[in-house]
Amino acid sequence: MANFTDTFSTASSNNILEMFSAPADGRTVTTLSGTYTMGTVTALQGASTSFVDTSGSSITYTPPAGTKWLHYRYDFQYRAYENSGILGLRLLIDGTAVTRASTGMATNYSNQGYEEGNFPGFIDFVFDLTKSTSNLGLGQVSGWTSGKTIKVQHREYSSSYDVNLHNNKYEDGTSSSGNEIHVKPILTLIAYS
Amino acid sequence: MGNLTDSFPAAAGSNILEVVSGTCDGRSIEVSSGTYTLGNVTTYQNLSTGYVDVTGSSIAYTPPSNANHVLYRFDFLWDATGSSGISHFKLMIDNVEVIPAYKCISSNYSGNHGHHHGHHPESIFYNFDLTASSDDAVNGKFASWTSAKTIKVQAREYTSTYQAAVHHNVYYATMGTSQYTQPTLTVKAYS
Repeated sequence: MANFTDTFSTASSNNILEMFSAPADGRTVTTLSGTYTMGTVTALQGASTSFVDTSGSSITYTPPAGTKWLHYRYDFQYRAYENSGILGLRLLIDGTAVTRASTGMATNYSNQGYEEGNFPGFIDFVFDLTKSTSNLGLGQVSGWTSGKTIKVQHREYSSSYDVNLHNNKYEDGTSSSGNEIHVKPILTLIAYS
Repeated sequence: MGNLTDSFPAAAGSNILEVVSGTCDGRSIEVSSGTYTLGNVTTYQNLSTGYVDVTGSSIAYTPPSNANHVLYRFDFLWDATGSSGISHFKLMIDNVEVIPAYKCISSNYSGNHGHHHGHHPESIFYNFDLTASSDDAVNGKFASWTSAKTIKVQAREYTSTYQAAVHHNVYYATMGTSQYTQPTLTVKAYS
Protein backbone atom coordinates (compact mmCIF):
# COMPACT_ATOMS: atom_id res chain seq x y z
CA MET A 1 0.00 0.00 0.00
CA ALA A 2 1.27 3.46 -0.85
CA ASN A 3 1.87 6.10 1.72
CA PHE A 4 -0.95 8.50 2.53
CA THR A 5 1.31 11.41 1.62
CA ASP A 6 1.81 10.03 -1.86
CA THR A 7 -1.74 11.08 -2.59
CA PHE A 8 -2.08 13.99 -0.19
CA SER A 9 1.34 15.55 -0.25
CA THR A 10 2.24 18.30 2.13
CA ALA A 11 2.03 21.82 0.85
CA SER A 12 5.19 23.52 -0.24
CA SER A 13 6.70 25.75 2.38
CA ASN A 14 9.38 28.38 2.59
CA ASN A 15 11.72 29.75 5.21
CA ILE A 16 9.44 32.58 6.38
CA LEU A 17 8.10 31.69 9.81
CA GLU A 18 6.04 34.83 10.23
CA MET A 19 5.83 38.36 8.94
CA PHE A 20 3.85 41.41 9.77
CA SER A 21 3.91 44.91 8.44
CA ALA A 22 1.69 47.72 9.67
CA PRO A 23 1.46 51.50 9.89
CA ALA A 24 1.74 53.13 13.27
CA ASP A 25 -1.99 53.62 13.74
CA GLY A 26 -2.35 51.68 16.98
CA ARG A 27 -3.62 48.51 15.35
CA THR A 28 -3.15 45.12 16.96
CA VAL A 29 -1.57 42.32 14.96
CA THR A 30 -1.77 38.68 16.00
CA THR A 31 0.82 36.25 14.67
CA LEU A 32 2.10 32.80 15.62
CA SER A 33 4.38 34.27 18.25
CA GLY A 34 1.92 36.61 19.93
CA THR A 35 -0.14 39.75 19.69
CA TYR A 36 1.56 43.04 19.01
CA THR A 37 0.16 46.55 19.22
CA MET A 38 1.70 49.08 16.90
CA GLY A 39 2.55 52.58 18.02
CA THR A 40 0.24 55.47 17.27
CA VAL A 41 1.65 58.37 15.28
CA THR A 42 -0.71 61.30 14.93
CA ALA A 43 1.70 64.14 14.27
CA LEU A 44 5.05 64.95 12.83
CA GLN A 45 8.08 64.60 15.08
CA GLY A 46 10.96 67.03 15.25
CA ALA A 47 14.47 66.38 16.45
CA SER A 48 16.91 67.82 18.92
CA THR A 49 20.64 67.46 19.32
CA SER A 50 20.18 64.48 21.65
CA PHE A 51 18.87 61.08 20.65
CA VAL A 52 15.17 60.51 21.35
CA ASP A 53 12.91 57.58 20.59
CA THR A 54 11.50 57.74 17.07
CA SER A 55 7.72 57.54 17.19
CA GLY A 56 6.17 54.36 15.87
CA SER A 57 9.42 52.42 15.79
CA SER A 58 9.28 50.48 19.05
CA ILE A 59 8.15 46.91 19.38
CA THR A 60 8.70 44.30 22.06
CA TYR A 61 9.01 41.10 20.10
CA THR A 62 9.55 37.41 20.72
CA PRO A 63 10.43 35.50 17.55
CA PRO A 64 8.83 32.11 16.87
CA ALA A 65 10.84 29.05 17.86
CA GLY A 66 13.21 28.09 15.06
CA THR A 67 13.97 31.65 13.98
CA LYS A 68 17.51 32.08 12.68
CA TRP A 69 17.22 35.55 11.17
CA LEU A 70 14.97 38.44 12.08
CA HIS A 71 14.56 41.33 9.68
CA TYR A 72 13.47 44.64 11.26
CA ARG A 73 12.62 47.52 8.94
CA TYR A 74 11.20 50.96 9.72
CA ASP A 75 10.02 53.15 6.83
CA PHE A 76 9.29 56.83 7.41
CA GLN A 77 9.06 60.19 5.69
CA TYR A 78 12.00 62.57 6.08
CA ARG A 79 11.93 66.34 5.73
CA ALA A 80 14.82 68.80 5.87
CA TYR A 81 13.40 71.68 7.88
CA GLU A 82 16.44 73.93 8.03
CA ASN A 83 19.58 74.04 5.91
CA SER A 84 20.48 70.47 4.91
CA GLY A 85 18.50 68.79 7.68
CA ILE A 86 21.21 66.42 8.85
CA LEU A 87 19.62 63.44 10.62
CA GLY A 88 21.29 60.65 12.59
CA LEU A 89 19.51 57.34 13.21
CA ARG A 90 20.43 54.42 15.39
CA LEU A 91 18.79 51.07 16.05
CA LEU A 92 18.62 49.69 19.58
CA ILE A 93 17.79 46.29 20.98
CA ASP A 94 17.05 46.25 24.70
CA GLY A 95 18.87 49.58 25.00
CA THR A 96 22.03 48.58 23.12
CA ALA A 97 22.82 50.31 19.83
CA VAL A 98 23.43 47.97 16.90
CA THR A 99 26.49 49.74 15.59
CA ARG A 100 26.48 48.76 11.93
CA ALA A 101 22.81 49.62 11.52
CA SER A 102 23.42 53.28 12.37
CA THR A 103 22.62 55.50 9.44
CA GLY A 104 21.78 59.05 8.49
CA MET A 105 20.05 61.31 6.04
CA ALA A 106 20.43 64.82 4.69
CA THR A 107 19.93 66.83 1.56
CA ASN A 108 22.61 69.03 0.13
CA TYR A 109 23.04 72.37 1.83
CA SER A 110 20.52 75.17 1.40
CA ASN A 111 20.77 78.40 3.36
CA GLN A 112 18.34 80.57 1.44
CA GLY A 113 14.98 79.29 2.64
CA TYR A 114 14.89 76.56 0.00
CA GLU A 115 14.91 73.63 2.40
CA GLU A 116 12.70 71.44 0.24
CA GLY A 117 14.28 68.02 0.73
CA ASN A 118 11.35 65.70 1.49
CA PHE A 119 11.47 61.99 0.70
CA PRO A 120 11.08 58.48 2.17
CA GLY A 121 13.78 56.94 4.29
CA PHE A 122 14.30 53.71 6.14
CA ILE A 123 16.53 51.91 8.61
CA ASP A 124 16.77 48.15 8.59
CA PHE A 125 18.82 45.28 9.97
CA VAL A 126 18.71 41.50 9.94
CA PHE A 127 19.43 40.14 13.41
CA ASP A 128 21.49 36.94 13.61
CA LEU A 129 19.99 34.38 16.01
CA THR A 130 22.38 31.56 15.07
CA LYS A 131 25.24 32.49 17.38
CA SER A 132 26.01 30.64 20.61
CA THR A 133 26.54 33.88 22.53
CA SER A 134 24.92 37.28 22.26
CA ASN A 135 26.61 40.42 21.03
CA LEU A 136 23.81 42.93 20.81
CA GLY A 137 26.10 45.62 19.41
CA LEU A 138 26.61 43.42 16.34
CA GLY A 139 22.97 42.38 16.22
CA GLN A 140 23.73 38.82 17.34
CA VAL A 141 21.18 37.38 19.76
CA SER A 142 21.44 33.95 21.36
CA GLY A 143 18.47 32.37 23.13
CA TRP A 144 15.84 34.95 22.21
CA THR A 145 12.86 33.36 23.93
CA SER A 146 11.20 36.34 25.59
CA GLY A 147 10.33 39.85 24.56
CA LYS A 148 13.12 42.17 23.50
CA THR A 149 12.44 45.78 22.61
CA ILE A 150 13.69 46.99 19.25
CA LYS A 151 13.40 50.67 18.47
CA VAL A 152 14.94 53.54 16.53
CA GLN A 153 16.32 56.76 17.98
CA HIS A 154 17.16 59.90 16.06
CA ARG A 155 18.80 63.29 16.48
CA GLU A 156 19.83 66.23 14.34
CA TYR A 157 23.38 67.37 13.75
CA SER A 158 22.89 70.79 15.36
CA SER A 159 20.07 73.22 16.04
CA SER A 160 20.82 74.88 12.69
CA TYR A 161 20.12 71.68 10.74
CA ASP A 162 16.57 70.93 11.81
CA VAL A 163 14.73 67.84 10.70
CA ASN A 164 11.12 66.69 10.84
CA LEU A 165 9.97 63.10 10.58
CA HIS A 166 6.61 61.87 9.25
CA ASN A 167 6.18 65.30 7.66
CA ASN A 168 4.98 66.36 4.20
CA LYS A 169 5.79 69.92 3.22
CA TYR A 170 3.64 70.06 0.12
CA GLU A 171 0.50 68.37 -1.08
CA ASP A 172 -0.08 67.86 -4.80
CA GLY A 173 2.71 70.29 -5.56
CA THR A 174 0.75 73.47 -4.98
CA SER A 175 0.36 74.26 -1.33
CA SER A 176 1.11 73.17 2.20
CA SER A 177 0.00 69.71 3.15
CA GLY A 178 -3.27 70.36 4.96
CA ASN A 179 -4.72 67.16 6.34
CA GLU A 180 -1.85 65.13 4.96
CA ILE A 181 0.82 67.01 6.84
CA HIS A 182 1.93 63.83 8.52
CA VAL A 183 2.58 60.32 7.23
CA LYS A 184 2.37 57.29 9.45
CA PRO A 185 5.59 55.27 9.47
CA ILE A 186 5.47 51.54 8.71
CA LEU A 187 7.10 48.85 10.80
CA THR A 188 7.90 45.45 9.28
CA LEU A 189 9.23 42.31 10.95
CA ILE A 190 10.06 39.05 9.14
CA ALA A 191 11.25 35.95 10.99
CA TYR A 192 13.17 33.41 8.90
CA SER A 193 14.17 29.84 9.69
CA MET B 1 -20.07 10.46 3.95
CA GLY B 2 -18.13 13.67 3.58
CA ASN B 3 -15.21 14.34 1.34
CA LEU B 4 -11.77 13.25 2.50
CA THR B 5 -10.66 16.86 2.26
CA ASP B 6 -13.25 17.80 4.87
CA SER B 7 -11.13 15.93 7.38
CA PHE B 8 -7.77 16.57 5.73
CA PRO B 9 -7.93 20.07 4.26
CA ALA B 10 -5.11 21.19 2.06
CA ALA B 11 -2.48 23.07 3.95
CA ALA B 12 -2.13 26.76 3.32
CA GLY B 13 0.55 27.46 0.77
CA SER B 14 2.47 30.43 -0.47
CA ASN B 15 4.02 31.54 -3.72
CA ILE B 16 7.21 32.49 -1.89
CA LEU B 17 9.64 29.61 -2.30
CA GLU B 18 12.55 30.99 -0.30
CA VAL B 19 14.13 34.21 0.93
CA VAL B 20 17.80 34.96 1.39
CA SER B 21 18.03 38.12 3.47
CA GLY B 22 20.84 39.40 5.58
CA THR B 23 22.99 42.25 6.72
CA CYS B 24 26.29 42.07 4.83
CA ASP B 25 28.60 40.96 7.64
CA GLY B 26 29.87 37.72 6.10
CA ARG B 27 27.08 35.54 7.45
CA SER B 28 26.03 32.29 5.76
CA ILE B 29 22.35 31.65 5.10
CA GLU B 30 21.02 28.18 4.32
CA VAL B 31 17.83 27.93 2.26
CA SER B 32 16.32 25.18 0.14
CA SER B 33 18.43 25.96 -2.93
CA GLY B 34 21.75 26.07 -1.11
CA THR B 35 23.91 27.99 1.33
CA TYR B 36 24.84 31.56 0.52
CA THR B 37 27.57 33.61 2.18
CA LEU B 38 27.03 37.35 2.05
CA GLY B 39 29.84 39.82 1.57
CA ASN B 40 31.47 41.32 4.64
CA VAL B 41 31.37 45.11 4.49
CA THR B 42 33.80 46.59 6.97
CA THR B 43 34.22 50.11 5.64
CA TYR B 44 32.65 52.60 3.28
CA GLN B 45 33.51 52.73 -0.41
CA ASN B 46 34.41 55.83 -2.38
CA LEU B 47 33.32 55.67 -6.01
CA SER B 48 35.50 56.68 -8.93
CA THR B 49 34.74 57.68 -12.51
CA GLY B 50 34.98 54.06 -13.69
CA TYR B 51 32.44 51.40 -12.76
CA VAL B 52 33.40 49.19 -9.81
CA ASP B 53 31.56 46.47 -7.92
CA VAL B 54 29.64 47.82 -4.93
CA THR B 55 30.80 45.95 -1.85
CA GLY B 56 28.27 43.58 -0.37
CA SER B 57 26.07 43.50 -3.46
CA SER B 58 27.27 40.28 -5.08
CA ILE B 59 25.61 36.89 -4.78
CA ALA B 60 25.91 33.78 -6.96
CA TYR B 61 22.38 32.47 -6.83
CA THR B 62 20.57 29.42 -8.14
CA PRO B 63 16.79 29.64 -7.72
CA PRO B 64 14.66 26.65 -6.71
CA SER B 65 13.62 24.60 -9.74
CA ASN B 66 10.03 25.86 -9.72
CA ALA B 67 10.84 29.56 -9.39
CA ASN B 68 9.06 31.81 -11.88
CA HIS B 69 10.33 35.13 -10.53
CA VAL B 70 13.37 36.20 -8.52
CA LEU B 71 13.50 39.54 -6.74
CA TYR B 72 16.95 40.95 -6.04
CA ARG B 73 17.18 43.93 -3.71
CA PHE B 74 20.24 45.74 -2.32
CA ASP B 75 19.65 48.40 0.34
CA PHE B 76 22.53 50.72 1.17
CA LEU B 77 23.45 54.19 2.38
CA TRP B 78 24.39 56.66 -0.37
CA ASP B 79 26.46 59.79 0.30
CA ALA B 80 27.37 62.82 -1.81
CA THR B 81 31.04 63.50 -1.15
CA GLY B 82 31.52 66.22 -3.77
CA SER B 83 28.97 68.78 -4.96
CA SER B 84 25.68 67.00 -5.81
CA GLY B 85 27.30 63.56 -5.90
CA ILE B 86 25.88 62.53 -9.26
CA SER B 87 26.40 58.79 -9.47
CA HIS B 88 25.33 55.92 -11.66
CA PHE B 89 24.24 52.47 -10.47
CA LYS B 90 23.72 49.49 -12.71
CA LEU B 91 22.62 45.96 -11.93
CA MET B 92 24.63 43.14 -13.48
CA ILE B 93 23.81 39.48 -13.96
CA ASP B 94 26.73 37.34 -15.10
CA ASN B 95 28.41 40.58 -16.17
CA VAL B 96 25.51 41.71 -18.39
CA GLU B 97 23.80 44.95 -17.42
CA VAL B 98 20.08 44.72 -16.74
CA ILE B 99 19.15 47.96 -18.43
CA PRO B 100 15.74 48.65 -16.78
CA ALA B 101 17.32 48.45 -13.32
CA TYR B 102 19.69 51.39 -13.85
CA LYS B 103 19.46 54.32 -11.42
CA CYS B 104 21.08 57.74 -11.22
CA ILE B 105 21.32 59.13 -7.70
CA SER B 106 22.21 62.69 -6.73
CA SER B 107 21.31 65.42 -4.29
CA ASN B 108 20.58 69.11 -4.83
CA TYR B 109 23.42 71.07 -6.34
CA SER B 110 25.73 72.57 -3.79
CA GLY B 111 27.10 75.84 -5.12
CA ASN B 112 29.83 75.55 -2.57
CA HIS B 113 31.45 72.21 -3.31
CA GLY B 114 32.17 71.77 0.38
CA HIS B 115 28.47 71.67 1.29
CA HIS B 116 27.82 68.17 0.01
CA HIS B 117 25.64 67.10 2.92
CA GLY B 118 23.30 64.85 0.95
CA HIS B 119 23.14 61.26 2.15
CA HIS B 120 20.23 58.85 2.45
CA PRO B 121 19.28 55.18 2.17
CA GLU B 122 18.81 53.85 -1.35
CA SER B 123 17.85 50.60 -3.05
CA ILE B 124 18.77 48.90 -6.29
CA PHE B 125 16.33 46.13 -7.15
CA TYR B 126 14.81 44.16 -9.97
CA ASN B 127 12.36 41.32 -10.49
CA PHE B 128 13.83 38.72 -12.83
CA ASP B 129 11.32 36.89 -15.02
CA LEU B 130 12.06 33.17 -15.32
CA THR B 131 9.07 32.38 -17.53
CA ALA B 132 10.49 33.77 -20.76
CA SER B 133 10.77 31.61 -23.87
CA SER B 134 14.41 32.58 -24.39
CA ASP B 135 17.16 34.21 -22.38
CA ASP B 136 17.27 38.01 -22.51
CA ALA B 137 19.62 39.03 -19.70
CA VAL B 138 19.63 42.70 -20.70
CA ASN B 139 15.94 42.82 -19.78
CA GLY B 140 16.21 40.38 -16.86
CA LYS B 141 14.32 37.55 -18.59
CA PHE B 142 15.37 33.92 -18.61
CA ALA B 143 14.04 30.68 -20.07
CA SER B 144 16.37 28.59 -17.97
CA TRP B 145 18.23 29.40 -14.77
CA THR B 146 19.46 26.13 -13.35
CA SER B 147 22.96 26.98 -12.20
CA ALA B 148 24.47 29.87 -10.29
CA LYS B 149 24.29 33.32 -11.85
CA THR B 150 26.14 36.17 -10.20
CA ILE B 151 24.04 39.25 -9.51
CA LYS B 152 25.75 42.42 -8.36
CA VAL B 153 25.63 46.20 -8.44
CA GLN B 154 28.27 48.37 -10.08
CA ALA B 155 28.59 52.12 -9.62
CA ARG B 156 30.58 55.15 -10.71
CA GLU B 157 30.51 58.90 -10.11
CA TYR B 158 29.80 61.45 -12.82
CA THR B 159 33.12 63.27 -12.65
CA SER B 160 35.86 63.81 -10.12
CA THR B 161 34.05 66.94 -8.86
CA TYR B 162 30.68 65.22 -8.43
CA GLN B 163 31.81 62.55 -6.05
CA ALA B 164 29.87 59.92 -4.13
CA ALA B 165 30.40 57.09 -1.70
CA VAL B 166 28.35 54.13 -0.51
CA HIS B 167 27.92 52.79 3.04
CA HIS B 168 29.29 56.14 4.25
CA ASN B 169 27.79 57.47 7.47
CA VAL B 170 29.55 60.78 7.27
CA TYR B 171 28.37 62.51 10.46
CA TYR B 172 29.21 59.61 12.73
CA ALA B 173 31.76 61.49 14.80
CA THR B 174 29.42 64.17 16.04
CA MET B 175 26.24 62.13 16.35
CA GLY B 176 27.55 59.00 17.98
CA THR B 177 26.81 56.76 15.06
CA SER B 178 29.10 54.67 12.92
CA GLN B 179 31.42 55.65 10.10
CA TYR B 180 29.94 52.98 7.88
CA THR B 181 26.60 51.26 7.60
CA GLN B 182 26.39 47.63 6.53
CA PRO B 183 24.02 47.16 3.59
CA THR B 184 21.24 44.57 3.39
CA LEU B 185 20.92 42.05 0.58
CA THR B 186 17.64 40.25 -0.12
CA VAL B 187 16.80 37.65 -2.76
CA LYS B 188 13.27 36.22 -2.95
CA ALA B 189 12.19 33.36 -5.19
CA TYR B 190 8.51 33.15 -6.16
CA SER B 191 6.61 30.37 -7.89
